[in-house]
Amino acid sequence: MASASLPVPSPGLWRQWREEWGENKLAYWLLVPSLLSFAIFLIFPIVNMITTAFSEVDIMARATSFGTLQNFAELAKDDRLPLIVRQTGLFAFGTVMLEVIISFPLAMVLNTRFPGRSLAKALILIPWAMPYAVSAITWKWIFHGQMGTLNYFLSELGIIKNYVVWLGNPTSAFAAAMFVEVWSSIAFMTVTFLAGLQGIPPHIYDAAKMDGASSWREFRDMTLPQMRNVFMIVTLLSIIWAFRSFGTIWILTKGDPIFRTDIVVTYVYKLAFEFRKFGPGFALSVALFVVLIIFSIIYTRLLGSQEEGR
Amino acid sequence: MHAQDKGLSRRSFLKVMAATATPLLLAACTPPAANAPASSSGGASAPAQAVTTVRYVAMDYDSRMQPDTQGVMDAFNSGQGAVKATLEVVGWPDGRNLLLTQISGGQAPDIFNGSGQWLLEFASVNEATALGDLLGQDFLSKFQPSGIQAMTVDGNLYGLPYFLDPRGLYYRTDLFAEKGLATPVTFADVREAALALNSPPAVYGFGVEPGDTWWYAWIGAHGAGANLSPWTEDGHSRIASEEGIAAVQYLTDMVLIDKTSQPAPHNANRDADLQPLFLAKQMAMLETGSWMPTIISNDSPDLQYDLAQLPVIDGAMKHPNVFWPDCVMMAQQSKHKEQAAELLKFMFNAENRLQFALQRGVIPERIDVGQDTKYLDPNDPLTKFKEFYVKELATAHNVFLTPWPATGSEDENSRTNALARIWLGEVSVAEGLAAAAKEIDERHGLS
Repeated sequence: MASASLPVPSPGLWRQWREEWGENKLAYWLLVPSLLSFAIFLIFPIVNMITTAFSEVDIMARATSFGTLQNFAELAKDDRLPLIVRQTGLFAFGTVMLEVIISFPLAMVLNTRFPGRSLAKALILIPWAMPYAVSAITWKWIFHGQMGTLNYFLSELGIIKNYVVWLGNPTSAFAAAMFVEVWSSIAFMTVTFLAGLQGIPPHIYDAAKMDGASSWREFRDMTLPQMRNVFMIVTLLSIIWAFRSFGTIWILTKGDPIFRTDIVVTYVYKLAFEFRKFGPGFALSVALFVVLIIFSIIYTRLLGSQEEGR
Repeated sequence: MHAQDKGLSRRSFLKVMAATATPLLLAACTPPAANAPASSSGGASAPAQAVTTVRYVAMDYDSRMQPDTQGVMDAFNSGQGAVKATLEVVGWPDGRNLLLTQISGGQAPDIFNGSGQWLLEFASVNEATALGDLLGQDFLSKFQPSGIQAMTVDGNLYGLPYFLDPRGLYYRTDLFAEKGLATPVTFADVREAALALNSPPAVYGFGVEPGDTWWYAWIGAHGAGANLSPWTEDGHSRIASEEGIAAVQYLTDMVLIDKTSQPAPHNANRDADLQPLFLAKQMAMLETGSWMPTIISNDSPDLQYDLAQLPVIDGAMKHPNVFWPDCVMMAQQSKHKEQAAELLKFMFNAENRLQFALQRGVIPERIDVGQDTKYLDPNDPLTKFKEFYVKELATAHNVFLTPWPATGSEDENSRTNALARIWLGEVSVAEGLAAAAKEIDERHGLS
């Protein structure tokens, strides 16, 4: 009796892997140095951080016994932690919101033709081109209570009578830290928004004009939807970077006065290297790592859905 | 997949890579060569002896630290052939973390210098060697007793005093003369002088910051001979005691009522804010350390000033002093303790300590050096300040002494934060100090 042709069984995973290896052996060998570096400089420190967070740690940062939640318990009892977390949230989201509010209109202006546009584009990049340390030190001197140029100009203009110690008051010190972070980061957002704006096909605006749409309608119904994905990606990246913003705050204020300008990442440093509490320091690092991983997953999924949508 | 048609095949390429990588890998895995034997100084027929290397990691005090200390190492090495001293100088901000990394990794240097606070920490985890037997009482008897006492924990000496810095009250003699003011002796004198001389922003009456200044007020509220420790015998914090409150009230009155301190004292730093203001002639009085006359002679030679003992709350009290001693320690991990001890004895001989004192402008740890006319040169205008500090050294209290070495930094932070809150007007003196004392005691499991 004649039978239909038997389906060819799909090759097993091991056979697939052997075929893949045979065809691309060289490529995989050339990947080995990169993989080793990845393992040594990224995987090992992360695994070490996680295991030490769950270990007892002495003042020499040596893990003595694994398998304890003592560090997390000690962290939970830290009275300062709620303040630090609030300040971190305010810093990260506050700076990003300000960056968006400033950068997007700036990008729209740079997207139009005007004399000196190229020069303006170059000047915008200066804060971004400066190393964070240089920016922070420069602004620290500008904000200096005795010798800062800000006080000098404000008093010359008659705006203040007595010099203000900007970095000595908790509120103004925090505002100064946010200002420096925003100032340093505006360039990236502006350039990215500008690239997004320049990627919008001009014919949709032509079509809108033919339909009699006003400038506001064009902006609301054409520009913003087209820029949605750029907004999301830039905002998420900036939030992640703001969470990790150690250099600006450390150089400007070191988290002072009285921890009022500390964020999680500077507090981790203080816990470990000033207070010698390495265990809670590792625990807080793990917590921050988890938060940033969540943001990264959100970013990756959004980016992936954006690419699939195309 | 047509690579084989185009010259070098993948198999050949891999063979070439393997041939290139193998000798490199072998070279990387080769153990370091053993120490070459030192050339003997006499007798061509003398057998070659193994040289022991002793590693010294030094924190720098200034840019000359490296060449000056290397000179000492070179002199030690050339004076004998059995031990070779090597030196690594690092900056203070990175020094502790570097030591921590090396000690944790089992690669501690043989000897290293550091803060007296580190000595307590390292001794508490058995990472510092007791030096008494290695150095001998005859050698140790040459040192200032207060310096040796500062390095002794539970009867064991864990370091040699290296940088002793008693303090004094620097005041502007020109401004005092203008107002007809006498040298300040008590808290009340300081407050009165500060009020009379305060003329911001041209001149601030008195320099205040939450770190060292608290100590000066604390010991001034007790007087010499009293218990100057901020700890009770059972480890409770004493900062909120009657004397503690009086000390901080004195400072707070100047900050908040008289307003005779520089702006934002809660955020001030001695080196970055107070000393520069004094050098710039914008401060009438400043309490700081024994290095200041050298700095003034270099950076502000026309500044007219004099030095007084730290003020006390009651004129009948004797004047106490404090220091933040640095030390040189030997790591417990050192495999060459006796050789390292030889290097220590050489580094701390009279000649080398005299040179160190002259180079750094510090007060000698050795009694004989402190009396040497090369140190107390009658022609040197700074000699009177040196004599002052040598005398003060005899009764200085070690601020690092604490029953809780593991939390030293955090306990200090609790206190400075309390002062900051007080001077920001958020809490009263009593409330702020009580809260800080409670926080400190709870940290140590005490109610």
